[in-house]
Formats: sequence, C-alpha cells, structure tokens
Amino acid sequence: MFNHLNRIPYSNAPFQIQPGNPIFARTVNIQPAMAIISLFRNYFMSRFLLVALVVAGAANTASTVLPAEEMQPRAAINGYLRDAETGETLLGANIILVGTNRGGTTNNAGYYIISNIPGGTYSVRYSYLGFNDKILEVTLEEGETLRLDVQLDPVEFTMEELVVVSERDREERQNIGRASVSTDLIKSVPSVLQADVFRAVQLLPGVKAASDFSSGLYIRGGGPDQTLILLDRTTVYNPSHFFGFFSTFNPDAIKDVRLYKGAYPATYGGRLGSVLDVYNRDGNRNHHGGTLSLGMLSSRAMIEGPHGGGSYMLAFRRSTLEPLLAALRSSVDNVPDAFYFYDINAKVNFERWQNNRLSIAAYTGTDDVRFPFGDDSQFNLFYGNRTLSMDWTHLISRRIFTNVTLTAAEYFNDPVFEFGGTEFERRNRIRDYSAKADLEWLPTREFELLAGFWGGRKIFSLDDFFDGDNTLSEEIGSDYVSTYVQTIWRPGHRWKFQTGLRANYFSSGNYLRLDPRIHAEFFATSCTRFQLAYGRYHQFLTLISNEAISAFDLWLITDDGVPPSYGDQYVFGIKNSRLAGYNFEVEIYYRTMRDLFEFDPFLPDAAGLAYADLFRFGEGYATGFELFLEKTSGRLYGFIGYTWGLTRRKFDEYNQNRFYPPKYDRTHDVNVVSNFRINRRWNASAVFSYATGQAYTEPLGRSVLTTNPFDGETIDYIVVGRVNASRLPAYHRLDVGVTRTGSFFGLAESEWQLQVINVYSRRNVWFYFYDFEENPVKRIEARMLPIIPAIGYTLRF
Amino acid sequence: MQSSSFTHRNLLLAGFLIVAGTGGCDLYGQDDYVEQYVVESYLIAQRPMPEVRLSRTAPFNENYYFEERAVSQATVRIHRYDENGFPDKTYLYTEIRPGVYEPQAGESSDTVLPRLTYRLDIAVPGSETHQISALTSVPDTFSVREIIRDRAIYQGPEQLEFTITRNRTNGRQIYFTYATESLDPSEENLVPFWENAVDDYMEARRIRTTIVNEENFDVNPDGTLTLRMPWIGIAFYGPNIISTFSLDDNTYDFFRSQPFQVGGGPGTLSPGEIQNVIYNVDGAIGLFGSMSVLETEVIVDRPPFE
Repeated sequence: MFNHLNRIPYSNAPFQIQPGNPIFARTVNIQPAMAIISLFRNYFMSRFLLVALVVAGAANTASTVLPAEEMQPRAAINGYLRDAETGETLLGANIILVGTNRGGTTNNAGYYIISNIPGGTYSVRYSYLGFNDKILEVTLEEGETLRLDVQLDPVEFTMEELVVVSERDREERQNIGRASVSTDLIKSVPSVLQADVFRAVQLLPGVKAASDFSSGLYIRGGGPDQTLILLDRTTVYNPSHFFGFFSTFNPDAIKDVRLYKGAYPATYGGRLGSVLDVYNRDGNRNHHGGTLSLGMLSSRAMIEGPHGGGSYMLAFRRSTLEPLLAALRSSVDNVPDAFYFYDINAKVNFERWQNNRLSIAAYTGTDDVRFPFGDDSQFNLFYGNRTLSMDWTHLISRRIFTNVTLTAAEYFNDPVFEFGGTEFERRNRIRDYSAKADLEWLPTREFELLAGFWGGRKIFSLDDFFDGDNTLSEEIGSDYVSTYVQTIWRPGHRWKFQTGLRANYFSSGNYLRLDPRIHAEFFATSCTRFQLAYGRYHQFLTLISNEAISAFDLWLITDDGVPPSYGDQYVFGIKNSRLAGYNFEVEIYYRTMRDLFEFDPFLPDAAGLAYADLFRFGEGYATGFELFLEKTSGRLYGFIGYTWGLTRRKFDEYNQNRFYPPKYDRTHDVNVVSNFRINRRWNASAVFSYATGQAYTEPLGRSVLTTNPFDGETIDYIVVGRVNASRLPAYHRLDVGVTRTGSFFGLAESEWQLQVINVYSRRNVWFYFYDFEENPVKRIEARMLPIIPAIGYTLRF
Repeated sequence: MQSSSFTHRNLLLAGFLIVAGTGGCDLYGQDDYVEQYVVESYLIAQRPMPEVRLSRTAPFNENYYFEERAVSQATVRIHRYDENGFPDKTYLYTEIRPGVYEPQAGESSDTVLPRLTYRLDIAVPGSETHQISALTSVPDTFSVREIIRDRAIYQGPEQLEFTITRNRTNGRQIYFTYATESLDPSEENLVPFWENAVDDYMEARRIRTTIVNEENFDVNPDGTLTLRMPWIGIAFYGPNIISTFSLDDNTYDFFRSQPFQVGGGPGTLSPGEIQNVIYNVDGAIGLFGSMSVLETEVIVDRPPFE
C-alpha cells in the first residue's frame, strides 16, 4: 500500500552542428562554412532537395526575366475579403479573373493579391465556402494597382444546395496533408457534454483519440506533443480542460481551424508531425451581437462588435458544476472541495488604415481541482495556459505582404498531493516570448516566395518538492531562431512545385538543424491531382503525458546530451472531385521519428540526476493510408473517413529493443459523419466510429517475492512477452443529435440542441487492470463512456 | 473521364489489397507463455548469509502457491569474492523444504561482508546445461552520527531527524528505502491517514517507502547526511523502529520497475502497457540483491488535540 504512495510522478543526429558559439553570431569564422559542408556530406536527400530548390528558383528567375511581356508594367488588384454580415476576414477564399487563368487565394489575414494583369476590363469572381459568389467588373490601366476590399454575403438557406464550394477553395483545402474543420461542423456534430474543436478534429482520417476521455490529438502515429498548436499564431502548450476531456478552444470564439496532418510546409516548424492552426474571430465590424450558451458541463458567453477603428470579440466559458457538487457534498463522500475551469478569449482589431491592420489577442484558461480522498489526504490540480499576441499586417507594396507578430505564452502545471502530512508538489512552467515575421512576395503569376523568421526565448522550469524540501530544480532558458524560405512555382497549368528550407537554432544544447521540404503536384485533369511531398522536421521539446489524464502533463526541452528529435515524412496523395458536390481523397504516408526523448518511466526519484539522465531515447516510424469521401452539398452532407495505420516505437533496453505499438495505435479506423437538414428549423446529425482495439500487454506469467526484507509483504510481479502485442476489443460508438432553431421572443435567435452519446451504450474497454488479492488473478475491465444524453441551449443576439 | 474512372478503380483495388494484405496478417504477434525459473535472496550486510528460494513461474491465469512452484534438488552455491575480485569463499546450500535453501551447517553463522561481491550459482535438476547465476555487490554499511530528534509530535513542526554517515558506492548516489515497524501496534494507535488506507490495522504494522535518492537529504559539511522522516512513513503513534536501507543495483532495479506493472508508482506509461521487471539474473528471473541497513528507535507522540 505504502509503495503506491510514492512521490509525485516523475513521472545521432546527422544534422548536428555545435560550434562553440551561436553560428549566426560569428560570420567571420570558417566554422559555419565547414559546418554547412559537413552538414550535407552524408545527406544526399537534403542535397537533392536543395538542388531542387535552387533549380526551382533559377527556373523562376528565368521565367521572371525572359518573357518580354513580363517586363511591361502590369496592373494588379489586391484587398481584403470579408463576411458582409460580421466583417470577419475570410481565409483561403478564391478570387478569379473570369475567362483567364489568373487568380489567387486570400491568405491567413484574408488578404489577396493578383498581379501581372494586362490592362483591360475583367470580371473578378470572389467565392468562399458558405457564401454567395460576387462578380465585379473592373477596368485596369497598365501599371495600375486597384484596391478592392470586398464583402461576401453568407449563402441563404436552400434545401438542395446548402454548401457552395469554389474550385480554388477546394484546391486549397485539398493540398497535401491538409484538412479544414468548419466551425459549423464543430458545433453540429454530437460531442460529449459540449461542442469541442479537438473532438471534431479527431473525426478526420489520420487523427486518433487515445480514449473517450482524451481530447489529445494523435495524428499519423505521433503523440499530442508532435502537433504544433497555434492560436492566433501563438503556441499553446496544453490545450485541454477537465483532465484532458476537451480542448480549451471555445467554439464561439473560433473563426478558422486548419490542420496540416503531415508534410507541412516550411512556413511552420518545431514539431515532428503536424500543425493545428486556429484563428480566433475578429469580431463583428458591422453591429454588436453575441451568443449565450447553457450546457450541462459549462456555459459560454460571447460578445462582439465594432469600435471606432475596428472590431472586438470577448468570449468567456466557465464550468457550471458547483451547484451539482454542492448538492452531492451533503450525501456523497469524496466530493471535490473545488472543481472548476474557465477560459477567456479576447481580441481587438484596429483597421482604420488601408495598408495596415493591427490586432491584439489574449487567451487565459485555468483548471483547478481540490479533491480530498480519505482522511488526511488530498490533491490539488492546478494548470492552465496564458497567451498574448499582437499582430501587425502591412502591405509594403502591391506585391509584398508582411505580417509581424509578437507573442507571449505561458503554460503552468502545479499539482500538489498530500498524504498523511507529507506533501508532494511539482511546478512545471514553459514561458515562451517570441517575435515572428512573415513576408509574401508575388513577383510573377507563376511564382510566389514566402520567407520569415521566428525567434524568441523559451524558459523551461521544473521544481519538485518533497516534504517541504526542493528535491529537483531545473531551469533552462533557451534562445531560439528559425528562419525559412519557401517558393511556389507553377510552370504551366499542370504542375506545381513548392520547395522550402527551414533552419532552426536552439541555444539550449547549441543545436542547429535544417529542415528541407519539397512538394510536387500534377494536375492530371481539371478534377484529379497527384501529390508527392517530402519534409524533414525537428522538435526541440517533448511532452510527458499519461494517456489516462492530462492534468500531469510535463513539458521538457532539449539540452546538452538531449538532442532534438527529428524525422522524415513522405506523403503521396490523390485528390479527385469529378462528381459535383463530392470530394474524394487518398493519402499514403510514411514517417520516421528519431532521437525521441521522453522521461524514463522507471525512475523512482529524479533527485540529484543530471538532466540527460532523466530521459530514455528511442525511435519510431508510422505508415498508413487514408481515404476521405466528402459530400458537400444537398440536404444530406458529411463525410466518411477511413485510416489504415501502423505505428511503432522502440526505446533502449525496453521490450528487448524491439519495436512495439503504442497504446493509441489502431490498425483500422472509420468515422462516418452525417448531417441532415430536415427543414428550416430542424437539423439532425450522427457520427459513427469504429476502430481496431487499442494495443495492450497481455500478462503471460506471474511470480511472487515472498520474503522481502523491507515490510515482509508478498510482492506480485508479472511476466510479459512483447509489449502491447495484444488488442482490446474493437471500439465502436454511435452518437446522434438534433438541433432546433427558433426565436427567443423576437429578441434573439435561439437553438436547442439535444444529443445522445453512445446510443447503444457500447461499453468500450479502455484498459485492463488486475486484482492480485484473488488467486488466480482476476482481470478487471476499465470501461469508457456509457450512454450519455446531453442538452444545450444557445441564444444569438 | 475514362482515365479518371480507371484511376478510381485502380485506387480502390490497391486500397483493398493493402487492407487485406496487412490487416489479415498479424504484424506483431503475442508471445506464448514460457515457464521460467525464479530466484529470491537478499544479502544484508553484517547479517547471516541468507536463504535462497528457487521456484518456477506460473501461467498468469492459474493459481499461484510457492509450494506448488518450488524447485527442489537444485545445487545452490554462493561464491564470495575479495576486494580484488578473486574468489574468496564458496557457501554450499542445503534444501530445508521444497524450494528453500540455506547455507550448510557451520556456514550459516557467517555474516555478509559489506563492499564485497557475491555470486549466486544454481544448477537446476534435470538439466546439465541450464545454469542460473547472478552477481551483487553489497553496499557499504553506515551508521548514525547524531540523533537530532528521536521523539516528535505527529505532524508537528519538528520532524524525526538524524544524521548518518555516507556510504557512497561505485560513484553513484545512494538509493534508500525506509521501513517503519511499530513496537506497539493497536487500532487506537493507528494514525488517521493509515486508518483510512488499510482494512486491518495489522496491515500497517510494518510499512515501507519507495526508493528515495540520496540527493533528497541535506548534505552536511562533514559529508554526513541529515534525514528527516516524512510523516507518511509513520503509521502508529508510540514507539517505532525506522529501518533505513541502502540498496544495491539489483534491488534498486527490481523495486523501481515492479510498481509500474500494477498501476503503482509515478507511471508515465499508458494504462495497460506493462513491461517486465528489470532482473539482473542469468538463466532465471527474480532478485538476487543486497543491502545494508540501519535501525533507529523513535517515539511518535499523539497530537494534543486529536
């Protein structure tokens, strides 16, 4: 018994350059050149990719210089595209000069540029998912740059053609490794207790959930730490509430969610696997409004509106469990003394200038649980995130768009346990202060160049206290700089090449790493694309997380003796949209994970150990393919996603140095998501999920220590073979929901939402544990969620 | 259009083939149960040579009783090596009951010597080739330099505290485990935390902590360590004996890895992911470990207003 009441859980890289000083600080020094030479000495793929990059650039230069028509002064149009109702910028929208092959897409700020247009009169068509197209007639003089800020009206409801998808938007959404999740999907699909961004993302092929209790994203074989999560371009380190049950992103505050499942471009970096880029709403620029939602677990409120020079948005969400807990406390033992979480999102935009736009965004979220269990024992979990960002968008010229962001982020996790008068406390912090700048340059219609940097300082600290003494104290401050260049070259109508190179420097351990990326695309027909991508990725931190509960998440970073993880990704994709209203996508991927570092799980006590001795090191790989069939129009719409996946890990002196599947590995994974619009008021949705059972270790034999000299108790131990070589029963679940929209006494729009999670109450097995008090040992199943009805009510005013 | 349909068909066919080919075969199969020999023995510095237990593992879903799994008629020896690593003495063992072996008469009074290496050798019956062997280096002894406080009020501001000499071993930290034994166990004397934690107060008569590194304690200028007994290690008011164990590598490895199998310990492994205990035995599993121990008697007083 006593042994379970332990202290708080403690729980050859080819690109390594380690000059004595930061490589960028010493330009008059032969070391950098030598280092770069050695960098490529044994790395043919990188050399090939760089050559490809140079060739692409050279080819572009040729195309820029040689054609005489390109030397003529040409016209251009640029501007912002917005939602006419709210004034929100529209990201990834499509702009086409009708009858020509010229066009463009709005960037992450909702800005577009179409350049090198010969003088003349054109029809410019603007289109975006869920909005009516708009066509404007414009006449351009040679050399003229026309500013066209355009607003699109949301599409009116029609029974048969609910969703309009433009070709360019579809193309953007079907880029390799890319997936988008609409806020409508997030709010409409049935979700346990409340709508959640991560729960919706988990339905996409290639994305898995660890359990019903976890909102963590396990993407293409990677753990949650292998996904870079950005909120308004600021890193969020622990995006979960309620022990990881759902994410911190308030769906009322979210405008856009973009997921790069793999082979993501050089514009992003710092994670081995994927990127989830989340943008908050800017706020309604036209009129004041808001929403109020009441749910079983939490309630939300959001207000937005215009101010003198722009717009604002403020969203608040808080758990509403206190009355229930208070009622239980009088009749039930071991009810938490405190149990709440909250988050606040705020954003203010200033848009009084034509070529400049400034926004300030902030987020704060906290979970606090104080739970007495038994006499003289309790725990307190206290964790959360804070972020602050200031974003400045500036048009330097008609062809050059810049974005500068200052960010500050903090993750904190301070669990405290007290057993019989002895206190165990941990304090883990990551503070991250950074500046980033991105530049987009569109010199010709065939060529785009993006470049940027991201630099800052991360301060990681970990303190353990045992019985009042500070037994472990680590603080590592690390400066980091990453810079990238990315080119997009479209030689003709059928080919598109995207090449990039990202350099990352991390001062903690003095690591400089290069990440080449390349992506080639062939448009076989107007509706069929073949895509091939390769990328190398580095990660300078790791998340130590128990899949059972995220409240103990611990972030650790590289340092001397702890090199960054790295991996290569290869992705092949085919995208087809031949049938109107349908998209069909296939992606096949293979990725490696090397120099994985994670907390040695067998360390009983970290006190006094060197930082590098806290870790075990390993490697892994993942492969699989994903099928995605989407229906985007009509009364019945939704998608079917299937994934066949295989993930393996290997750590030194573990599982006899054999590769093994992590628990979250699922061979087959199917999700069917459907929405049916019954009439103007009623909408129904259903989600069915099926997956191979997760991996677990089947005990084979047992023995007992019978004479231990410490307390004389018998000590049972298990003999196993291969780790995680068995499978739990298959997982499947059906969730359904209906929503009814109406009016709240003419004052506001109202929406009732009724959902039933796990309709047939399939008690999926989470894991097995064993009762050694029985002889023979009794196996007990820990099960996941039973049937759960949920009701919610939302007012929009 | 034709080519597009053709592409679709090929794509689906390829997908089904891959699914059938990979999903149909087991890429990472489960091992079968293989019976293994199990040893158990603890050498404690300056105490008599220990008994050795030899048994076999049981299939996980079957009953386990040591007597049923005991291995008899084995040839058991423990060799002692001197400080230069040369064989010094061999202890021959005799089976006193099934699976339990003791040093032969005349040698059972020999004590285990600190800082020396011992080697276990077992020849199992019915096999001329299967040998079991294990090595352990016995930790140095240590002693109490000063008793700062051997009487304290439970959860009072002052803890039980004493200073011990340091017995650094092989350049690594010292790994400690505490065990506390009540000299007056009774239901009335059980402290609240343990009253809630056990069904029968006698279960808490002798309790132990998990492993604690030396660096948890204050290092004094003279090289000694000051240990403060955490209150969680006290289960009964009244007189208690605190045993402080300094562990060898084998014991450390076994006791640091075993708790994770059954859901105890810090646990960063996923639920259901179980690894073998770290054994340092050739030809068998189990533990051939050693330790030195220091015992201190203390008195824990009941808080005045309890």
